[in-house]
Amino acid sequence: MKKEEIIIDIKMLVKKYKDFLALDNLNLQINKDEIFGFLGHNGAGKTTTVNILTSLLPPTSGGADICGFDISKDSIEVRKRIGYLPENVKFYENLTAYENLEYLAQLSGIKNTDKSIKDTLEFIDFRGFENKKVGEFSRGMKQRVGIAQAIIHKPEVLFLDEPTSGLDPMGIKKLREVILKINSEKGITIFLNTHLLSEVSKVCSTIGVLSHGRLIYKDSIENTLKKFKDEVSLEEIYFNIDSEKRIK
Amino acid sequence: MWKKILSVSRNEFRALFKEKTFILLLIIFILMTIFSTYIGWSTKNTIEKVYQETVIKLKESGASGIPLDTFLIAPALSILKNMIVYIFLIGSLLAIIIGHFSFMRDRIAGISKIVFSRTISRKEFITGKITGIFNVLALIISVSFIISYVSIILVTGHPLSGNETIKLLIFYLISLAYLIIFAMLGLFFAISSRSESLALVNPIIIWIIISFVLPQLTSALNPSALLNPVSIQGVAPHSRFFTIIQEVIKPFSLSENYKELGSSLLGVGPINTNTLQIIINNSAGILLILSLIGLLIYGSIFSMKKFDVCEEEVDG
Repeated sequence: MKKEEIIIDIKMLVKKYKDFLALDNLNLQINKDEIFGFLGHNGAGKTTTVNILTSLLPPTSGGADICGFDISKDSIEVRKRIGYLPENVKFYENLTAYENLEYLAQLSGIKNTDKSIKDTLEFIDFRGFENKKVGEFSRGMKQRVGIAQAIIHKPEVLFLDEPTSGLDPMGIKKLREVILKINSEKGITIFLNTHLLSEVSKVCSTIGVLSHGRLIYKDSIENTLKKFKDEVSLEEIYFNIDSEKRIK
Repeated sequence: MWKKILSVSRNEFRALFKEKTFILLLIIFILMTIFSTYIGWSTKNTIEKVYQETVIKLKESGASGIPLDTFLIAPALSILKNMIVYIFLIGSLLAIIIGHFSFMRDRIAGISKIVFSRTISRKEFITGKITGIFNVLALIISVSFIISYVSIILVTGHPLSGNETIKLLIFYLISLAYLIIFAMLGLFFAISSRSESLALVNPIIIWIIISFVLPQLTSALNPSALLNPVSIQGVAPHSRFFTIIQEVIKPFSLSENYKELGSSLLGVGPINTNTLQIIINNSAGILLILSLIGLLIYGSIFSMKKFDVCEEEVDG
Protein backbone atom coordinates (compact mmCIF):
# COMPACT_ATOMS: atom_id res chain seq x y z
CA MET A 1 0.00 0.00 0.00
CA LYS A 2 1.31 3.45 -0.95
CA LYS A 3 2.47 5.45 2.05
CA GLU A 4 0.43 8.62 2.43
CA GLU A 5 2.45 11.80 2.29
CA ILE A 6 1.29 14.78 4.39
CA ILE A 7 1.41 17.93 2.27
CA ILE A 8 -0.36 20.34 4.64
CA ASP A 9 0.43 20.04 8.33
CA ILE A 10 -1.35 22.53 10.60
CA LYS A 11 -0.15 22.58 14.20
CA MET A 12 -1.88 24.30 17.14
CA LEU A 13 -2.95 27.21 14.95
CA VAL A 14 -4.48 30.15 16.81
CA LYS A 15 -5.78 33.42 15.36
CA LYS A 16 -7.25 36.20 17.45
CA TYR A 17 -8.83 39.42 16.15
CA LYS A 18 -8.83 41.65 19.23
CA ASP A 19 -11.30 39.78 21.50
CA PHE A 20 -12.58 37.42 18.83
CA LEU A 21 -10.99 33.96 18.69
CA ALA A 22 -11.21 32.94 15.04
CA LEU A 23 -9.04 29.81 15.26
CA ASP A 24 -8.66 27.84 18.47
CA ASN A 25 -5.68 25.43 18.44
CA LEU A 26 -6.41 24.02 15.01
CA ASN A 27 -4.59 20.78 14.17
CA LEU A 28 -5.07 19.31 10.72
CA GLN A 29 -3.12 17.12 8.29
CA ILE A 30 -3.94 16.79 4.63
CA ASN A 31 -2.43 14.16 2.37
CA LYS A 32 -0.93 14.68 -1.06
CA ASP A 33 -3.32 14.34 -4.03
CA GLU A 34 -6.40 14.67 -1.83
CA ILE A 35 -9.35 16.92 -2.48
CA PHE A 36 -10.05 18.11 1.03
CA GLY A 37 -13.40 19.73 1.77
CA PHE A 38 -13.25 22.18 4.65
CA LEU A 39 -16.78 22.61 5.91
CA GLY A 40 -18.18 25.05 8.40
CA HIS A 41 -20.86 27.63 8.99
CA ASN A 42 -20.26 31.30 8.18
CA GLY A 43 -17.77 32.72 10.67
CA ALA A 44 -16.36 29.29 11.60
CA GLY A 45 -12.83 30.35 10.61
CA LYS A 46 -12.45 28.71 7.19
CA THR A 47 -11.33 31.83 5.32
CA THR A 48 -9.02 32.79 8.19
CA THR A 49 -7.38 29.35 7.92
CA VAL A 50 -6.83 29.79 4.18
CA ASN A 51 -5.55 33.35 4.64
CA ILE A 52 -2.96 32.07 7.10
CA LEU A 53 -1.97 29.06 4.96
CA THR A 54 -1.48 31.31 1.92
CA SER A 55 0.71 33.56 4.14
CA LEU A 56 -1.58 36.55 3.66
CA LEU A 57 -2.27 36.73 7.39
CA PRO A 58 0.13 36.02 10.26
CA PRO A 59 -1.07 33.53 12.89
CA THR A 60 -1.33 34.65 16.53
CA SER A 61 0.40 31.42 17.56
CA GLY A 62 1.05 27.96 16.20
CA GLY A 63 1.90 27.36 12.59
CA ALA A 64 1.78 25.12 9.57
CA ASP A 65 4.02 23.44 7.02
CA ILE A 66 3.09 23.23 3.37
CA CYS A 67 5.19 20.89 1.19
CA GLY A 68 7.63 20.78 4.12
CA PHE A 69 8.06 24.56 4.35
CA ASP A 70 7.03 26.67 7.31
CA ILE A 71 4.37 29.24 6.31
CA SER A 72 5.95 31.97 8.48
CA LYS A 73 9.68 31.34 8.04
CA ASP A 74 9.68 30.15 4.41
CA SER A 75 6.68 32.04 3.08
CA ILE A 76 8.26 32.61 -0.36
CA GLU A 77 8.95 28.87 -0.75
CA VAL A 78 5.38 28.15 0.35
CA ARG A 79 3.97 30.68 -2.13
CA LYS A 80 5.95 29.08 -4.96
CA ARG A 81 4.07 25.85 -4.31
CA ILE A 82 0.53 27.10 -3.79
CA GLY A 83 -2.25 28.47 -5.94
CA TYR A 84 -5.09 30.49 -4.46
CA LEU A 85 -8.58 31.39 -5.57
CA PRO A 86 -10.19 33.78 -3.05
CA GLU A 87 -13.91 34.03 -2.54
CA ASN A 88 -15.36 36.51 -5.07
CA VAL A 89 -12.15 36.71 -7.07
CA LYS A 90 -11.70 40.05 -8.77
CA PHE A 91 -9.47 41.37 -11.53
CA TYR A 92 -8.68 44.62 -13.29
CA GLU A 93 -12.01 45.02 -15.06
CA ASN A 94 -10.73 47.24 -17.87
CA LEU A 95 -7.92 44.84 -18.77
CA THR A 96 -8.43 41.70 -20.84
CA ALA A 97 -8.25 38.20 -19.35
CA TYR A 98 -4.91 37.74 -21.12
CA GLU A 99 -3.49 41.00 -19.69
CA ASN A 100 -4.61 40.07 -16.18
CA LEU A 101 -3.14 36.58 -16.46
CA GLU A 102 0.08 37.88 -18.01
CA TYR A 103 0.60 40.27 -15.08
CA LEU A 104 -0.08 37.59 -12.46
CA ALA A 105 2.07 35.03 -14.28
CA GLN A 106 4.97 37.49 -14.33
CA LEU A 107 4.56 38.05 -10.58
CA SER A 108 4.91 34.28 -10.16
CA GLY A 109 8.20 34.41 -12.04
CA ILE A 110 6.99 32.48 -15.11
CA LYS A 111 9.35 32.98 -18.05
CA ASN A 112 7.26 32.01 -21.06
CA THR A 113 4.03 33.68 -20.01
CA ASP A 114 2.37 33.45 -23.42
CA LYS A 115 2.70 29.66 -23.59
CA SER A 116 1.66 29.24 -19.96
CA ILE A 117 -1.46 31.36 -20.45
CA LYS A 118 -2.49 29.52 -23.62
CA ASP A 119 -1.83 26.08 -22.10
CA THR A 120 -3.73 26.93 -18.92
CA LEU A 121 -6.72 28.36 -20.77
CA GLU A 122 -6.72 25.29 -23.03
CA PHE A 123 -6.63 23.04 -19.97
CA ILE A 124 -9.66 24.69 -18.39
CA ASP A 125 -11.41 24.89 -21.77
CA PHE A 126 -11.52 28.69 -21.84
CA ARG A 127 -9.80 29.58 -25.12
CA GLY A 128 -11.32 32.33 -27.26
CA PHE A 129 -12.11 34.68 -24.38
CA GLU A 130 -8.60 35.80 -23.52
CA ASN A 131 -8.79 39.07 -25.45
CA LYS A 132 -12.07 40.21 -23.91
CA LYS A 133 -12.16 42.63 -21.00
CA VAL A 134 -12.80 40.91 -17.67
CA GLY A 135 -15.44 43.59 -16.94
CA GLU A 136 -17.58 42.02 -19.68
CA PHE A 137 -17.41 38.53 -18.13
CA SER A 138 -20.14 36.73 -16.19
CA ARG A 139 -19.47 35.55 -12.65
CA GLY A 140 -18.75 32.04 -13.87
CA MET A 141 -16.29 33.25 -16.51
CA LYS A 142 -14.43 35.35 -13.94
CA GLN A 143 -14.22 32.29 -11.74
CA ARG A 144 -12.62 30.36 -14.62
CA VAL A 145 -10.02 33.10 -15.04
CA GLY A 146 -9.58 32.86 -11.27
CA ILE A 147 -8.85 29.14 -11.58
CA ALA A 148 -6.44 29.88 -14.44
CA GLN A 149 -4.43 32.38 -12.39
CA ALA A 150 -4.30 29.93 -9.51
CA ILE A 151 -2.81 27.04 -11.53
CA ILE A 152 -0.79 28.92 -14.15
CA HIS A 153 2.47 28.49 -12.18
CA LYS A 154 1.87 24.74 -11.67
CA PRO A 155 1.38 24.70 -7.89
CA GLU A 156 1.40 21.57 -5.73
CA VAL A 157 -1.48 22.73 -3.53
CA LEU A 158 -4.52 24.70 -4.62
CA PHE A 159 -6.63 26.64 -2.12
CA LEU A 160 -10.19 27.35 -3.24
CA ASP A 161 -12.29 29.58 -1.00
CA GLU A 162 -16.01 29.12 -1.66
CA PRO A 163 -15.37 28.70 -5.40
CA THR A 164 -19.01 28.14 -6.38
CA SER A 165 -20.33 31.09 -4.40
CA GLY A 166 -22.78 33.07 -6.55
CA LEU A 167 -22.57 30.77 -9.57
CA ASP A 168 -25.58 29.43 -11.47
CA PRO A 169 -26.08 25.62 -11.64
CA MET A 170 -24.30 25.37 -15.00
CA GLY A 171 -21.39 27.43 -13.70
CA ILE A 172 -21.16 25.18 -10.61
CA LYS A 173 -21.15 22.04 -12.79
CA LYS A 174 -18.40 23.36 -15.07
CA LEU A 175 -16.27 24.47 -12.15
CA ARG A 176 -16.69 21.11 -10.43
CA GLU A 177 -15.45 19.37 -13.59
CA VAL A 178 -12.43 21.67 -13.73
CA ILE A 179 -11.58 21.00 -10.05
CA LEU A 180 -11.69 17.23 -10.60
CA LYS A 181 -9.59 17.55 -13.78
CA ILE A 182 -6.95 19.65 -11.99
CA ASN A 183 -6.66 17.00 -9.28
CA SER A 184 -6.64 13.96 -11.51
CA GLU A 185 -4.57 15.21 -14.46
CA LYS A 186 -2.17 17.61 -12.76
CA GLY A 187 -1.96 15.81 -9.43
CA ILE A 188 -2.59 19.00 -7.47
CA THR A 189 -3.80 18.64 -3.88
CA ILE A 190 -6.93 20.73 -3.38
CA PHE A 191 -8.05 22.45 -0.20
CA LEU A 192 -11.67 23.43 -0.76
CA ASN A 193 -13.40 25.83 1.61
CA THR A 194 -17.13 25.60 1.39
CA HIS A 195 -20.39 25.56 3.26
CA LEU A 196 -22.15 23.70 0.45
CA LEU A 197 -22.40 20.02 1.31
CA SER A 198 -23.62 19.04 -2.13
CA GLU A 199 -20.33 20.33 -3.53
CA VAL A 200 -18.27 18.34 -1.04
CA SER A 201 -20.01 15.04 -1.71
CA LYS A 202 -19.44 15.33 -5.47
CA VAL A 203 -15.85 16.50 -5.41
CA CYS A 204 -13.97 15.74 -2.19
CA SER A 205 -12.19 12.64 -0.98
CA THR A 206 -11.87 13.80 2.65
CA ILE A 207 -13.82 16.28 4.75
CA GLY A 208 -13.09 18.31 7.85
CA VAL A 209 -15.68 20.24 9.82
CA LEU A 210 -14.75 23.48 11.51
CA SER A 211 -16.95 25.01 14.17
CA HIS A 212 -16.07 28.20 16.04
CA GLY A 213 -12.41 27.87 15.13
CA ARG A 214 -12.10 24.22 16.19
CA LEU A 215 -11.83 21.13 14.02
CA ILE A 216 -14.67 18.94 15.21
CA TYR A 217 -14.54 16.18 12.62
CA LYS A 218 -12.25 14.78 9.94
CA ASP A 219 -12.52 11.62 7.87
CA SER A 220 -12.88 10.38 4.31
CA ILE A 221 -16.21 10.81 2.57
CA GLU A 222 -16.40 7.03 2.30
CA ASN A 223 -15.96 6.49 6.06
CA THR A 224 -18.27 9.37 6.90
CA LEU A 225 -21.08 7.84 4.88
CA LYS A 226 -20.44 4.46 6.57
CA LYS A 227 -20.36 5.95 10.08
CA PHE A 228 -23.56 7.85 9.61
CA LYS A 229 -25.33 5.28 7.49
CA ASP A 230 -28.69 6.07 9.06
CA GLU A 231 -28.58 9.62 7.89
CA VAL A 232 -30.32 10.27 4.59
CA SER A 233 -27.95 12.89 3.25
CA LEU A 234 -24.60 14.53 3.88
CA GLU A 235 -26.53 17.59 5.07
CA GLU A 236 -27.97 15.59 7.94
CA ILE A 237 -24.55 14.16 8.80
CA TYR A 238 -23.08 17.65 8.92
CA PHE A 239 -25.82 19.00 11.14
CA ASN A 240 -25.50 15.99 13.46
CA ILE A 241 -21.73 16.44 13.83
CA ASP A 242 -22.00 20.20 14.29
CA SER A 243 -24.87 20.16 16.78
CA GLU A 244 -23.37 17.29 18.83
CA LYS A 245 -20.07 19.11 19.25
CA ARG A 246 -21.75 22.42 20.03
CA ILE A 247 -23.81 20.80 22.81
CA LYS A 248 -20.66 19.18 24.25
CA MET B 1 13.61 40.51 -8.35
CA TRP B 2 13.89 43.23 -11.03
CA LYS B 3 11.68 41.31 -13.43
CA LYS B 4 8.82 41.41 -10.94
CA ILE B 5 9.40 45.10 -10.20
CA LEU B 6 9.33 45.81 -13.94
CA SER B 7 6.14 43.77 -14.35
CA VAL B 8 4.37 45.87 -11.69
CA SER B 9 5.77 49.03 -13.27
CA ARG B 10 4.64 48.00 -16.77
CA ASN B 11 1.21 47.14 -15.47
CA GLU B 12 0.94 50.68 -14.07
CA PHE B 13 1.28 52.08 -17.58
CA ARG B 14 -1.19 49.61 -19.03
CA ALA B 15 -3.84 50.18 -16.37
CA LEU B 16 -3.37 53.95 -16.02
CA PHE B 17 -3.86 54.68 -19.71
CA LYS B 18 -7.25 52.99 -19.43
CA GLU B 19 -8.43 55.28 -16.59
CA LYS B 20 -10.87 57.94 -17.85
CA THR B 21 -10.07 60.47 -15.07
CA PHE B 22 -6.36 60.19 -15.82
CA ILE B 23 -6.84 60.57 -19.58
CA LEU B 24 -9.02 63.66 -19.05
CA LEU B 25 -6.51 65.36 -16.75
CA LEU B 26 -3.66 64.40 -19.09
CA ILE B 27 -5.41 65.99 -22.06
CA ILE B 28 -6.06 69.14 -20.00
CA PHE B 29 -2.39 69.26 -18.98
CA ILE B 30 -1.11 68.82 -22.55
CA LEU B 31 -3.55 71.46 -23.82
CA MET B 32 -2.38 73.78 -21.04
CA THR B 33 1.22 73.30 -22.18
CA ILE B 34 0.28 74.31 -25.72
CA PHE B 35 -1.90 77.11 -24.38
CA SER B 36 0.94 78.40 -22.21
CA THR B 37 3.10 79.15 -25.24
CA TYR B 38 0.13 80.60 -27.08
CA ILE B 39 -0.53 83.00 -24.19
CA GLY B 40 3.17 83.94 -24.17
CA TRP B 41 3.12 84.51 -27.93
CA SER B 42 -0.14 86.48 -27.75
CA THR B 43 1.21 88.67 -24.91
CA LYS B 44 4.38 89.30 -26.86
CA ASN B 45 2.39 90.39 -29.95
CA THR B 46 0.07 92.66 -27.95
CA ILE B 47 2.94 94.34 -26.11
CA GLU B 48 4.93 94.79 -29.30
CA LYS B 49 1.90 96.27 -31.03
CA VAL B 50 1.32 98.70 -28.16
CA TYR B 51 5.05 99.46 -28.12
CA GLN B 52 5.10 100.26 -31.85
CA GLU B 53 2.03 102.52 -31.50
CA THR B 54 3.66 104.28 -28.55
CA VAL B 55 6.90 104.74 -30.45
CA ILE B 56 4.98 106.34 -33.34
CA LYS B 57 3.12 108.66 -30.96
CA LEU B 58 6.31 109.55 -29.10
CA LYS B 59 8.07 110.33 -32.37
CA GLU B 60 5.12 112.45 -33.51
CA SER B 61 5.24 114.41 -30.26
CA GLY B 62 8.95 115.02 -30.85
CA ALA B 63 10.27 112.94 -27.96
CA SER B 64 13.94 112.09 -28.27
CA GLY B 65 14.57 109.27 -25.70
CA ILE B 66 12.49 106.28 -26.77
CA PRO B 67 12.66 103.30 -24.33
CA LEU B 68 13.73 99.86 -25.58
CA ASP B 69 11.24 97.11 -26.46
CA THR B 70 11.00 95.03 -23.28
CA PHE B 71 10.53 91.84 -25.26
CA LEU B 72 13.85 92.36 -26.98
CA ILE B 73 15.62 92.02 -23.63
CA ALA B 74 13.29 89.37 -22.10
CA PRO B 75 14.63 85.78 -22.32
CA ALA B 76 12.88 83.53 -24.83
CA LEU B 77 11.99 81.07 -22.07
CA SER B 78 9.90 83.69 -20.25
CA ILE B 79 7.15 82.99 -22.79
CA LEU B 80 6.59 79.80 -20.81
CA LYS B 81 6.03 81.53 -17.46
CA ASN B 82 2.45 80.25 -17.27
CA MET B 83 3.75 76.68 -17.23
CA ILE B 84 4.90 77.25 -13.64
CA VAL B 85 1.31 77.91 -12.60
CA TYR B 86 -0.09 75.05 -14.66
CA ILE B 87 2.36 72.58 -13.17
CA PHE B 88 1.85 73.64 -9.59
CA LEU B 89 -1.94 73.66 -9.99
CA ILE B 90 -3.09 71.19 -12.68
CA GLY B 91 0.07 69.07 -12.83
CA SER B 92 0.11 68.42 -9.10
CA LEU B 93 -3.57 67.44 -9.16
CA LEU B 94 -2.86 65.04 -12.05
CA ALA B 95 0.05 63.60 -10.05
CA ILE B 96 -2.21 63.00 -7.02
CA ILE B 97 -4.65 61.12 -9.27
CA ILE B 98 -1.79 59.00 -10.70
CA GLY B 99 -0.48 58.10 -7.23
CA HIS B 100 -3.96 57.51 -5.84
CA PHE B 101 -5.11 55.17 -8.61
CA SER B 102 -1.81 53.35 -8.61
CA PHE B 103 -2.74 51.53 -5.41
CA MET B 104 -6.47 52.26 -5.08
CA ARG B 105 -7.02 50.47 -8.39
CA ASP B 106 -5.79 47.27 -6.74
CA ARG B 107 -7.87 47.85 -3.62
CA ILE B 108 -11.05 48.52 -5.62
CA ALA B 109 -10.38 45.54 -7.86
CA GLY B 110 -9.70 43.42 -4.75
CA ILE B 111 -6.69 41.92 -6.49
CA SER B 112 -4.23 42.28 -3.59
CA LYS B 113 -4.96 38.81 -2.22
CA ILE B 114 -4.04 37.01 -5.43
CA VAL B 115 -1.03 39.28 -5.91
CA PHE B 116 0.42 38.64 -2.45
CA SER B 117 -0.27 34.90 -2.55
CA ARG B 118 2.46 34.86 -5.23
CA THR B 119 6.21 35.05 -4.78
CA ILE B 120 6.47 38.84 -5.01
CA SER B 121 7.44 40.59 -1.78
CA ARG B 122 5.71 43.75 -0.59
CA LYS B 123 8.94 45.70 -1.06
CA GLU B 124 9.24 44.54 -4.68
CA PHE B 125 5.58 45.36 -5.26
CA ILE B 126 5.74 48.92 -3.90
CA THR B 127 9.07 49.53 -5.66
CA GLY B 128 7.35 48.48 -8.89
CA LYS B 129 4.45 50.84 -8.21
CA ILE B 130 6.79 53.77 -7.45
CA THR B 131 8.89 53.03 -10.56
CA GLY B 132 5.70 52.92 -12.63
CA ILE B 133 4.58 56.31 -11.24
CA PHE B 134 8.02 57.82 -11.97
CA ASN B 135 7.89 56.51 -15.54
CA VAL B 136 4.38 57.82 -16.20
CA LEU B 137 5.26 61.26 -14.82
CA ALA B 138 8.55 61.30 -16.74
CA LEU B 139 6.64 60.54 -19.95
CA ILE B 140 4.16 63.37 -19.33
CA ILE B 141 6.92 65.84 -18.47
CA SER B 142 8.93 64.76 -21.55
CA VAL B 143 5.92 65.37 -23.82
CA SER B 144 5.41 68.76 -22.17
CA PHE B 145 9.13 69.58 -22.61
CA ILE B 146 9.06 68.70 -26.31
CA ILE B 147 5.89 70.74 -26.90
CA SER B 148 7.42 73.74 -25.07
CA TYR B 149 10.75 73.44 -26.90
CA VAL B 150 9.15 73.28 -30.36
CA SER B 151 6.63 76.01 -29.53
CA ILE B 152 9.33 78.46 -28.41
CA ILE B 153 11.27 77.89 -31.62
CA LEU B 154 8.09 78.48 -33.64
CA VAL B 155 7.22 81.65 -31.71
CA THR B 156 10.67 83.23 -31.54
CA GLY B 157 11.73 82.05 -34.96
CA HIS B 158 15.18 80.88 -33.85
CA PRO B 159 16.51 77.79 -32.04
CA LEU B 160 17.23 77.91 -28.32
CA SER B 161 20.83 78.38 -27.24
CA GLY B 162 22.62 75.63 -25.30
CA ASN B 163 22.23 77.56 -22.04
CA GLU B 164 18.50 78.12 -22.65
CA THR B 165 18.01 74.44 -23.48
CA ILE B 166 19.77 73.42 -20.24
CA LYS B 167 17.62 75.87 -18.26
CA LEU B 168 14.45 74.51 -19.84
CA LEU B 169 15.59 70.96 -19.16
CA ILE B 170 16.37 71.75 -15.51
CA PHE B 171 13.01 73.50 -15.18
CA TYR B 172 11.23 70.35 -16.35
CA LEU B 173 13.38 68.11 -14.14
CA ILE B 174 12.48 70.24 -11.12
CA SER B 175 8.84 70.11 -12.24
CA LEU B 176 9.08 66.31 -12.43
CA ALA B 177 10.44 66.22 -8.88
CA TYR B 178 7.62 68.57 -7.78
CA LEU B 179 5.00 66.29 -9.35
CA ILE B 180 6.58 63.18 -7.80
CA ILE B 181 5.89 64.67 -4.35
CA PHE B 182 2.16 64.87 -5.10
CA ALA B 183 2.06 61.44 -6.72
CA MET B 184 3.73 59.99 -3.63
CA LEU B 185 1.16 61.78 -1.45
CA GLY B 186 -1.61 60.14 -3.48
CA LEU B 187 0.09 56.74 -3.18
CA PHE B 188 0.80 57.08 0.54
CA PHE B 189 -2.81 57.90 1.40
CA ALA B 190 -4.15 55.22 -0.98
CA ILE B 191 -2.20 52.63 1.04
CA SER B 192 -2.72 54.00 4.52
CA SER B 193 -6.32 55.28 4.44
CA ARG B 194 -9.16 53.06 5.55
CA SER B 195 -11.67 54.29 2.97
CA GLU B 196 -11.42 55.18 -0.70
CA SER B 197 -12.87 58.67 -0.17
CA LEU B 198 -10.43 59.51 2.64
CA ALA B 199 -7.58 58.29 0.48
CA LEU B 200 -8.43 60.99 -2.04
CA VAL B 201 -9.62 63.74 0.31
CA ASN B 202 -6.43 63.74 2.43
CA PRO B 203 -3.95 64.48 -0.39
CA ILE B 204 -6.38 67.01 -1.90
CA ILE B 205 -6.46 68.89 1.45
CA ILE B 206 -2.65 68.94 1.48
CA TRP B 207 -2.68 70.09 -2.16
CA ILE B 208 -5.01 72.97 -1.19
CA ILE B 209 -2.73 73.91 1.71
CA ILE B 210 0.41 73.83 -0.46
CA SER B 211 -1.12 75.51 -3.50
CA PHE B 212 -3.46 78.06 -1.92
CA VAL B 213 -3.10 78.46 1.85
CA LEU B 214 0.69 78.76 2.16
CA PRO B 215 0.98 81.19 -0.80
CA GLN B 216 -1.65 83.35 0.95
CA LEU B 217 0.76 83.67 3.85
CA THR B 218 3.82 84.30 1.70
CA SER B 219 3.80 85.68 -1.83
CA ALA B 220 0.09 86.57 -1.72
CA LEU B 221 0.96 89.10 0.98
CA ASN B 222 2.54 90.82 -1.96
CA PRO B 223 -0.64 91.95 -3.78
CA SER B 224 -1.50 90.28 -7.11
CA ALA B 225 1.26 87.71 -6.77
CA LEU B 226 -0.92 84.80 -5.62
CA LEU B 227 -0.66 82.79 -8.78
CA ASN B 228 1.84 84.72 -10.80
CA PRO B 229 5.35 83.40 -10.57
CA VAL B 230 6.77 86.73 -9.53
CA SER B 231 9.48 86.89 -6.92
CA ILE B 232 8.83 89.23 -4.07
CA GLN B 233 10.94 92.30 -4.49
CA GLY B 234 10.58 94.95 -1.92
CA VAL B 235 6.81 95.26 -2.20
CA ALA B 236 6.23 93.40 1.02
CA PRO B 237 3.57 94.92 3.26
CA HIS B 238 4.81 97.44 5.76
CA SER B 239 3.70 95.26 8.64
CA ARG B 240 6.27 93.53 10.81
CA PHE B 241 3.74 90.78 11.57
CA PHE B 242 3.31 89.87 7.89
CA THR B 243 7.02 90.15 7.20
CA ILE B 244 7.80 87.69 10.02
CA ILE B 245 5.10 85.24 8.86
CA GLN B 246 6.46 85.46 5.34
CA GLU B 247 10.04 84.85 6.44
CA VAL B 248 9.12 81.94 8.70
CA ILE B 249 6.80 80.11 6.33
CA LYS B 250 8.47 80.72 2.98
CA PRO B 251 11.41 78.29 3.41
CA PHE B 252 8.88 75.50 4.08
CA SER B 253 6.41 76.50 1.39
CA LEU B 254 6.81 73.99 -1.39
CA SER B 255 4.91 75.96 -4.02
CA GLU B 256 6.79 79.18 -3.21
CA ASN B 257 10.13 77.47 -3.59
CA TYR B 258 9.02 75.87 -6.84
CA LYS B 259 7.67 79.15 -8.19
CA GLU B 260 10.86 81.01 -7.39
CA LEU B 261 13.08 78.34 -8.87
CA GLY B 262 10.91 78.13 -11.99
CA SER B 263 10.83 81.91 -12.36
CA SER B 264 14.62 82.12 -12.10
CA LEU B 265 15.14 79.36 -14.68
CA LEU B 266 12.62 80.76 -17.16
CA GLY B 267 13.94 84.28 -16.71
CA VAL B 268 10.84 85.83 -15.20
CA GLY B 269 11.80 88.75 -12.95
CA PRO B 270 15.49 89.53 -12.42
CA ILE B 271 17.51 87.92 -15.20
CA ASN B 272 20.28 85.60 -14.14
CA THR B 273 22.07 83.93 -17.04
CA ASN B 274 24.22 81.70 -14.83
CA THR B 275 22.35 78.41 -14.47
CA LEU B 276 24.65 77.10 -11.74
CA GLN B 277 24.14 80.31 -9.76
CA ILE B 278 20.36 79.88 -10.02
CA ILE B 279 20.63 76.35 -8.64
CA ILE B 280 22.92 77.47 -5.80
CA ASN B 281 20.60 80.37 -4.93
CA ASN B 282 17.65 77.97 -4.77
CA SER B 283 19.45 75.03 -3.16
CA ALA B 284 17.26 75.20 -0.06
CA GLY B 285 14.15 74.82 -2.22
CA ILE B 286 15.70 71.92 -4.16
CA LEU B 287 16.67 70.26 -0.87
CA LEU B 288 13.11 70.69 0.42
CA ILE B 289 11.68 69.03 -2.72
CA LEU B 290 14.15 66.12 -2.57
CA SER B 291 13.64 65.63 1.19
CA LEU B 292 9.88 65.44 0.75
CA ILE B 293 10.25 62.88 -2.04
CA GLY B 294 12.49 60.74 0.19
CA LEU B 295 10.16 61.06 3.16
CA LEU B 296 7.07 60.14 1.17
CA ILE B 297 8.75 57.16 -0.52
CA TYR B 298 9.80 55.90 2.90
CA GLY B 299 6.24 56.49 4.20
CA SER B 300 4.74 54.53 1.30
CA ILE B 301 7.12 51.57 1.77
CA PHE B 302 6.43 51.57 5.52
CA SER B 303 2.63 51.71 4.98
CA MET B 304 2.87 48.88 2.46
CA LYS B 305 4.61 46.68 5.03
CA LYS B 306 1.77 47.35 7.46
CA PHE B 307 -1.04 47.06 4.89
CA ASP B 308 -3.57 44.40 5.76
CA VAL B 309 -4.20 42.41 2.59
CA CYS B 310 -7.20 40.73 4.16
CA GLU B 311 -8.63 44.15 5.15
CA GLU B 312 -9.78 43.00 8.60
CA GLU B 313 -11.67 40.04 7.17
CA VAL B 314 -13.04 38.03 10.09
CA ASP B 315 -15.88 36.19 8.40
CA GLY B 316 -15.93 32.54 7.38
